[in-house]
Formats: sequence, C-alpha cells, structure tokens
Amino acid sequence: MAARDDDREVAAAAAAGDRLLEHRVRLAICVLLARRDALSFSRLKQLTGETDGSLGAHLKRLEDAGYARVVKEFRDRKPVSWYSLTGAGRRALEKHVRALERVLAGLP
Amino acid sequence: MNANPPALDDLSYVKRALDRDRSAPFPASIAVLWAGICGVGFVLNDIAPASTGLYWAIAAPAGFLLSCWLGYHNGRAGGELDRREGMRWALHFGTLLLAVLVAAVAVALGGFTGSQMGAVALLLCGVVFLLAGVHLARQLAWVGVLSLAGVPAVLLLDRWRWTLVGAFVAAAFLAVAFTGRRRTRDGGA
Repeated sequence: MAARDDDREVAAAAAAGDRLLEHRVRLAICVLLARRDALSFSRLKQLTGETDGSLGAHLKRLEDAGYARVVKEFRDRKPVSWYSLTGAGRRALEKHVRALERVLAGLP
Repeated sequence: MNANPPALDDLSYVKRALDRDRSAPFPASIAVLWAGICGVGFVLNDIAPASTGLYWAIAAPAGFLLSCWLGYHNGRAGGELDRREGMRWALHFGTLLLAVLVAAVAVALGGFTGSQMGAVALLLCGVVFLLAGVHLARQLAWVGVLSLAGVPAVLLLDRWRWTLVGAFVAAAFLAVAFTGRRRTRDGGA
C-alpha cells in the first residue's frame, strides 16, 4: 500500500514537470543558458555535442515556446547567434528542476 | 517525465554539458600579460628599487583594466557573455588593488618601510591568487602558492631575491597560459 502511494507521488511529481524540458538536449540548453547572460550557437554546440541540425531544431522549439530568445550579429563578417533564457524560460526551468528533484527523491 | 533510469541518463547528459562549461581555460593572453608585468616589476626591485613604486603604481591598474578588456573579448570570442561572472572576477582582483593601495598608504604614514611593502604586497598577491584558485580558476592557485613561498624568500635571501621570486611567479603565469592553450587544443573548451 505504501509502495503504491510512493508510485503515485512520483507520478504526480513527474506530471508537474515541463513537457518541453523533458528532452535532455532542451533541458541542457536551458541549464547552460541559466548560468550565463548569453551563449553563442557554436558554444552551445561545443557544450552539448549536438549537430547543427539537432541543436538548431531544439533551440527553435525553445524560441517558439518563448523560453529562449536570439540576437543575431555579425563578427568579422560572419553571423553569430546569441541565445539567452527569457523570464518564462527561467521560471519553467525552476519548476521543472523542482519536479525532477521530487521524482528523484521518490526513486528507490 | 519518465521516473526511471533513462531520466538519470538524461541528467548525466546535462551534467556532462555542465562539466564542459566548467572546464573553460583561463585566458592565455591575461596570463602572458601578468607574466610580463610581474617579470619586469620583480627584476626592477633588484636593479632599480627606487623606481619600483612608480612602476607598480602605473602597471598594476593598467594591467587590471587591460585584463578586464581581454577577459571580455576572450569571452565574446569563445561564445560566452556573462556580466555577473565578469564582475565577480573584477571585484576579486580589484580587492587586491585596493589592499595594495592601503598598504602603500600605510608606508606613506610610516607604518612600515618601503622594502617591507614589497613583502606585504607579495603576501596579499599570494592570498588573493590562492583564493582565486579555490573560487574562480584552479590553475591560478599555483601563482598564489609560489607568491606565498616567495615571502620568506624575499625576507631571507641576500641577492637577486626579487628576480628569483619574479622568475617563479612569471613561470607560474606562463604555465597557466600554456595549460589553457593545451586544453583548448585538446577540445576542452
């Protein structure tokens, strides 16, 4: 009976998490952006180890959800995209991390 | 959200990304700059002690401002913008400048002699760089350790004591620059 209650608690905590941040790449992007004012696309690529296509697709989803914003500029005639976390993104990340902590606390 | 081992794999992925972020090397240009400033300044203390005060009064604040500029541009070139982190570094090393300034005022007021001032400044450098090694970038701890080891050396040795300590401190800065470059080449950051 107690085990079933624990399972229910874990499931409730899991449901409280943010669906968009369930993917590890998007979660890693948000955690990295939360630590800095902004990171360039190439730096995010270095840190996550993702390909251009994969990283671009995940960043687009975060932008569309209003979790990340992009500022584009030219440096030495080359385009540089700077990504930062929005207020909504920071709040979503904090909520998701709290849910994750509850899930992990409930694991055997 | 899956409450099962794959969730732990996901967290390991996030941790690896964070570890890569934390292993960013100390800017080599700043380390080389301070190897030069310290190398010249310490040798000057042995060959022209009268001009040492003026040298450090100009070189230390100029080096500090140039380091801030180099740090900002190094961060941008590496794809990182972080005002809070920049401010943390500036306040940490700004504290050293302030402490040395207070020590210089103490010399002017007759608190201790000019020759003792060198040992006090070296002691302050040792403490600040050792703390930088603990809180900011681990490589800088060696600069702190060698500066602290230099304090008894400059008090006990008779000849070329500042040149000797300066060579070790400059070598520590160059080692910071070299290890940073090697880590970058290896793909660390």
